[in-house]
Order: sequence, then structure tokens, then C-alpha cells
Amino acid sequence: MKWEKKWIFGAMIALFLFVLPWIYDSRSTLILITQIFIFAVFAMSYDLLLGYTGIISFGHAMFFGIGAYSTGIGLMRNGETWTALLYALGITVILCLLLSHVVGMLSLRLKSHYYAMLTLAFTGLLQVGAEKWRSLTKGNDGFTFHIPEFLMDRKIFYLFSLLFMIIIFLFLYQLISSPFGKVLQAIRENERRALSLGYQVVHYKVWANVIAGVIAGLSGMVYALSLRFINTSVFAVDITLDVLLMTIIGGVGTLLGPIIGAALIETAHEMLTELADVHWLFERWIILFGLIYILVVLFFPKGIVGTWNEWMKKERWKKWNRLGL
Amino acid sequence: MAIWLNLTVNGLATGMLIFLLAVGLTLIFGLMDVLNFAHGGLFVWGAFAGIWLFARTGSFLLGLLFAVVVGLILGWFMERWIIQPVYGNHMQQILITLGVMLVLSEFIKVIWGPNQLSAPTPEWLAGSWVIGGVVLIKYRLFIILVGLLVFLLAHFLLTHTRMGLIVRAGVMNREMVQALGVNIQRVFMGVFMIGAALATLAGVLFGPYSGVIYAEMGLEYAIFAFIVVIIGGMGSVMGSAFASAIVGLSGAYVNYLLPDLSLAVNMLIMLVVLLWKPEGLFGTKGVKG
Amino acid sequence: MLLEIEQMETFIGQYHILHGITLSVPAGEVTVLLGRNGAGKTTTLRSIMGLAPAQKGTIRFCGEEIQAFPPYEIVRRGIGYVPEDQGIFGDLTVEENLKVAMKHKDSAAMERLQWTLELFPDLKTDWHKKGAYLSGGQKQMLSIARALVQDLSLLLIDEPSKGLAPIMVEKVAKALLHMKQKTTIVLVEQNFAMASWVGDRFYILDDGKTVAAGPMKELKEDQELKRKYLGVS
Ligand SMILES: Nc1ncnc2c1ncn2[C@@H]1O[C@H](COP(=O)(O)OP(=O)(O)O)[C@@H](O)[C@H]1O
Ligand SMILES: [Mg+2]
Repeated sequence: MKWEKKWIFGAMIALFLFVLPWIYDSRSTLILITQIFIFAVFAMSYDLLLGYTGIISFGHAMFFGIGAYSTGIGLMRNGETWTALLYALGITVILCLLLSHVVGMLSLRLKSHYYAMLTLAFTGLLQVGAEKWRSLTKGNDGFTFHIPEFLMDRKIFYLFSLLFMIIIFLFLYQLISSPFGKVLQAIRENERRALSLGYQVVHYKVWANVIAGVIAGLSGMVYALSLRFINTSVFAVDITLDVLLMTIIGGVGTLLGPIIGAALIETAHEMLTELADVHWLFERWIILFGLIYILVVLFFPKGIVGTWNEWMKKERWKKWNRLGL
Repeated sequence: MAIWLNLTVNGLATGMLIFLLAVGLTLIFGLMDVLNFAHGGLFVWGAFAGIWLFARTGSFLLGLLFAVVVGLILGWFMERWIIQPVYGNHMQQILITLGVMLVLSEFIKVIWGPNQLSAPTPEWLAGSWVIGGVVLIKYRLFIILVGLLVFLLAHFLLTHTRMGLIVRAGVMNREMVQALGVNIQRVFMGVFMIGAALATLAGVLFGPYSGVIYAEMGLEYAIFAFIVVIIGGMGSVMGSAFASAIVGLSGAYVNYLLPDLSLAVNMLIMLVVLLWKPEGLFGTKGVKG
Repeated sequence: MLLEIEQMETFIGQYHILHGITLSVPAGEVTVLLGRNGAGKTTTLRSIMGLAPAQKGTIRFCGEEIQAFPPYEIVRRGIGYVPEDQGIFGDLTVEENLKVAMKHKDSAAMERLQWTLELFPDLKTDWHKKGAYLSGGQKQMLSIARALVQDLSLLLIDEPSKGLAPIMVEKVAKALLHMKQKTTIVLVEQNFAMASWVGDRFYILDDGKTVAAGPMKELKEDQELKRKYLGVS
């Protein structure tokens, strides 16, 4: 019963989102929601690591950036065709696969700190690399490019991103309910126990890393398509921080959490950017995010969705107790 | 020949700055199992606070001193109010120190504005000596000197005082040190504060070396320090010193020969170490998850 | 009673390890904790030391409740600990290992050091050797010595005979009997021969609970109890 209700509710929201552009046709709102979809995917991929496997990455932006650059460079060099986009997709998947595999193999057998450091360092390297390799990337100035005609329409692109998010959501949902996903969660709960149960913990972690990396790469692709512009900021720590915030505030270890987190953070970005015209202090909104982030980690480590779930569970207990069950 | 000597001095100076950052990082990690991602934020705070006072008073020494004091205070604050509450929870610790990093560097922009500041060299350290046709920039030698002094002092303290013994013992086996009657909390606090003070010292020394200071430099240099800690081995001061020299020198040489590859070469060294000896060149601490 | 534990329960993380440990240790005796692997003997010692703090129950030492104290306060009251893995600092020399334990260097401390080195003269010959290079027996002696240089009235020792050659076991047992004159001892021991040689009274632990107790002499005769909990016949 409970389970079905959840899906009906979800389907209704999805339906609402599908028809939204025809109900409320505001350009800036559509753009904002599209960004939310894209970052929701990025954050969900991050949560597969942080929330479901217990791996802390400080360089998830590297996959995002690779996807974005593959798309930008591919479309600029080969023209704005579907074939070019397909090539970019292939390159993104291959690069993300390789990189996530290498980084994972190097550091996931060590203490969790190593992975955090290594990803931070790798992303730093990629950012510097993108700045230096100007012939390919035009450095920090970046470049604009065209995308296939069909995707130019804002509404179409909105639907495309929504579909993208839903597909990834369903895929990840399947994944975490599968035996593979259960092992990941067992690792998160108690790595030593998972090891003593005979699971190849490193192997599972590396695969989680690879899947998260590829999905992040895909979200980077869609991000580049949405902006039709790219510069080195896709590798910046800010991107990783944003995704951390989204996941943690939304709720680690849930798929809904990152989506809600993405909505909150992206909306806050938008609002605060507008407020920056009002007062210069709002330009420093990152401080606000940073402080909220610290407070959430300290006092609210389960995030919105996690805390809500916990609260609901307690309420249900109370109800049962009252019924004397 | 002269150019190589110059590059060596350059490399060593950079290496010393990284070393000052890495000492705290490696000891805090070795002892407390805390990877302090906010260390780079301390570096920036040292730079801005120190250079600010230097500009006001004209005394570079006063600036150095002030940076150290700021480091001690920030270190105390962080250990007490950020690290202690999440003690024993790795995930929260790592996540929270990154948040602190963010807030520290953004606060810099609130106080001193978002643009970079220029950091002049103090008069008595400006200029250079010419020895046998080689131009040696005084300030760089000064950095090397300070770095060496810190290294020798740290080495002496760690090997010749009971406190140092406790720190080394704690890196190897924290629980046993407690079982021998040591109030480990105090040791943590002490090491954290000293580590923070060395990071801020590195920051203010960096100012005149680069000529400008900016809020983002914290993360850039923290990455170098992480690389050094991995290469040298977590918990080892000797390892950090050695690895800092490698990273500084290879950076300088490669930057001269193949300018585009200077960061990459350090990463490459780190990857080789991770593959071949994951506990680091001088590491004794377990690194398995 | 020097040490009295009542209904102690300990959790490590989310695991409930000790379910109810009750025991009393009279001064001047050797109390032996017996039980199968995983029964909770090590955890009991760590709970007394405050290293794995007990969540429920009381631990009374010289009449004072110490269960909420941090380890250094407990050590200060005179309890020493020799862990199962000896806890030697591998990079430090024998001398430095002892120094970590010596907070003060007053005449009383020097006297204790003297006494300890007379008990384990081998340590003097290896004075500048690093802990990592000592043999198993030497490590055990150093670990005990490191506890003895502190001002103790109770010593907790976890399986000192583990992995040692029989001749070494004998040496350690003799040392324990000698130490008994100065300090009360709680000994965790799987080696029944050694336990019955040095022990005055015993407690048997099973699944995190104390299940039997008595004078050591009685246990020697009680084949049933031994078979049930210790797997010896
Ligand atoms: N750090 C820990 N985490 C989880 N379980 C532990 C931990 N330490 C001990 N245990 C468990 O507690 C039980 C008792 O362990 P221990 O006290 O070492 O027993 P003994 O010393 O009698 O062999 C064992 O089942 C062991 O697996
Ligand atoms: Mg044991």
C-alpha cells in the first residue's frame, strides 16, 4: 500500500513537471528548473558515493567537467550534429570510466582520506590542465558553441533534461535495490563486517565509483548543452561544493534528497545573485552556504529527507503504540 | 650552471613553504586521524593578517608574529568547536573541515575585499647577493632559513622531549598512549594549534615571495601539501621535509624545462608512491581502510 | 575490595559487547579472567581503563566510581594496563617507550624503574633498541615494565603468554608472581596451566557476561565447568 502511494505521488509530480512549460511559460523559471534537473542528476551520482557507499569525494567536478568539455569541444570541432554529440557521449563515457577506475583503484583500498585528497588533487590538475591547454579549451575565457537545432528550443530542452533526470533516477533506484546496491550499503554501514562476510569491498567501491563517475559525466554533458558555453569553471571546487551541499542538505543516502537539495541550492543561488545588486554582502553568499553546510554537518547530518524519514518513522511508532500493537 | 643553482634555491624556498604547511597536516593526521582540509584556509589567513599588519606598522617581524598568533587562535577555535564535536566520525570530520576551508577563505574576501593584495618585500630582505656570478635573492634564502629552523626545532622537540615522544608514540598507537596516563585531548589541542600556527606562518612568508596574495591560494597550496603528505607518509615530519624538497625542486626544474607540466609531475610522483608504497616513503602508519 | 564492578554493559559503536559483568578484585591477589575467544575479556579490561567506556553499571576503584572518567584519570588513580598486542611503540627505543610512561622523574619513580629493571634485566641490554626489533617475549616484558614504572596499585594484563615459547611463558609467570608482592593483578589468560599457577581466584566470562567465579583451586577440580566454558578437559 505504502509503496504504491509513493509511486503514484511521484508519477503525479513527474506529470506536473512535464506539462509545466505549457501552464507557466516563464523563460527564467524554465532555465532555473532545467538547471535543477541537471544538478539533481549530478548530486544523485554523488550520493551513490557519499550516501550509499560512504565514499567522500572532493573532486566529483572532474567527471562533470570532462563531460562538459567533451561536449563543447566535440560540437565545436565537428559541427552541431547528432553524430558529433554521439561522439562526445562516447568520449565522455570512456574518459570517465577510465579516470574513475584509475582513481578508485589507486585510493579506494586505502583510508577514506586518500580518496578525498586524491580526487581534490586530480580535479585541481584537470583545472590547471584546461587553463594551460588553450589551443583546445581557450582557457579560462572559454568558448561558445552551437548545439543541434532540435535542442535549441527551451521547452524541448526542459523536457529533455526532465526525462534525463527521471531515467537516471529510475536507474539508480534499480541499482540501489539490487544485490549490488545492498552490498554497497553494507559497506557503508560497516566495512569490516562486509569484508568478513567475504565481499570484495574494494571491487564494489571501485564499481560504485565508476558508475557515479559516468553519470556525473553525463550530467556535465547536459550542463554544457544547456549553457552552450564552457570554461574552466566546470572543474572548479565550487562545483564540487555545490554538489556536496545539495546532497548533504537534501539528505544523504536517499535519492530524493539530492533532488530536493539541488532545487534548494539552485534557487538560492539565483535569489542571492539577484540580491547581490542590492547589497555587496550578498555577493559573498558562499559564506552563508558554508555556514549552513557546517551547521547541517554538525547538527543535522541526515539532511532534510533523512530527518523527515526518521520523524515519520517515530510518528508511525507512536501511532502503533497508541493502538496497542 | 648559475640558472640551476637559482632554480634549486627557488625550489627549496617553495619546498620550505609547503613543508611548513605539511608539518601540521601530517601530524594532525597521524595523531588524530583528522585530515584537515581547512589547513589551506589557515595559510590564507596568515598571509592576509600578517601582510596587513606589516603594511600598517612597517615591521615585517611584527607581521610574522601576528600571523602566528592568529594561527594559534584559529587553531584553538577549530579544534575546540569544529573538530571535537565530530570526533570519532570520519565522514563528518572530512566534510566539516572542507566547509571551514570555504568559510575561512570567503571571510578573507569580506574583510579585505575580493581582489588580490600586493605584498612587498621588507626592505632588509629586499635585493640579492651576488656570489661568484650567481644571483641569490635574499628573501628566498630567508624562507629557506626559517624553514630549516622550524624543521630542526620540530625534529629536536620530537626526539628529545617527553612531549615529542608522546606525539610520536600517539601517531603509532593512540590508545596505548592514553592507557599510559596521557591526556590525549590536550596533546591534540597542542598539536593542532602548533600546526595551525605553522600554516599561518607559511602564509605570511609566502606573501613577499609571490608578491601578491589572494583568497584562492589556500586551496592551491593545500593541494601541494596533501601531495607532500602522501609522498612522505602520514604522521612523519621527516617524510614531509623530504617530500617537500622533492616537490619544490621538481616543480622548479620542470617549470623551467617543460613549464606546462610542473603540477603534473608532482601528481605523477605521488601516483608512483601510492602504487609502490602507499604508506609513503617514511610512513609507518597503517593506511588500509 | 580494591576493584568492584557491577552489572557493567559496554557498547562499541552499535554493537552491544558486554551484557553484564560483575566482579570483585581483592587487594594483593591475582584474579584471572577466563573464557573463550570473543567472550569479552579484552573489552572488560578496556572498559575498566576507560578506553571502551562502559555505558551502564558501575566500576568502583578504592571505593570511588570511575566508570565515567577519561583514561588518564583512571591511570592517575593507579591502574596500569598491558594490552593483548602489547602496544609497543615500534619506532621508539626501549628507553623511550618507558619514558612515555614516566610522567615524573622523582626518586619514587626512579626506584620503581630500578625495581622493574631488576625484574627484567634483559631490557637493560636492549636499552637503545627500537621496539619493533624486539622479540615477542621482550616486547611482553617491555610492555609489563612500562606499566610497572607507573605508580600502580592494580595491573590489568591481557594474555601475556599468547604466542610465547614455553620458556618465555615461565619467565613471565615468575615475574607475575614476583610482582604480586607489590601490586594487585587482573590477568586475562587462555593458557590454563599458567592461569592456575599464578591465579588465586577466577571469573569465567561468556558472551559478555560473568558466568562463574570462585577460588582457583576449585576450578582445577571442576571438570564440568572447564569443559563447558573453556573447552579444556
Ligand atoms: N572494535 C570492535 N568493534 C566491533 N566488535 C568488537 C570490537 N572489539 C571487540 N568486538 C567484539 O566483541 C566481542 C568480545 O571481544 P573481546 O573482548 O576481544 O573478547 P576476548 O578478549 O574475550 O577474546 C567479540 O565478539 C568481538 O568480535
Ligand atoms: Mg582478547
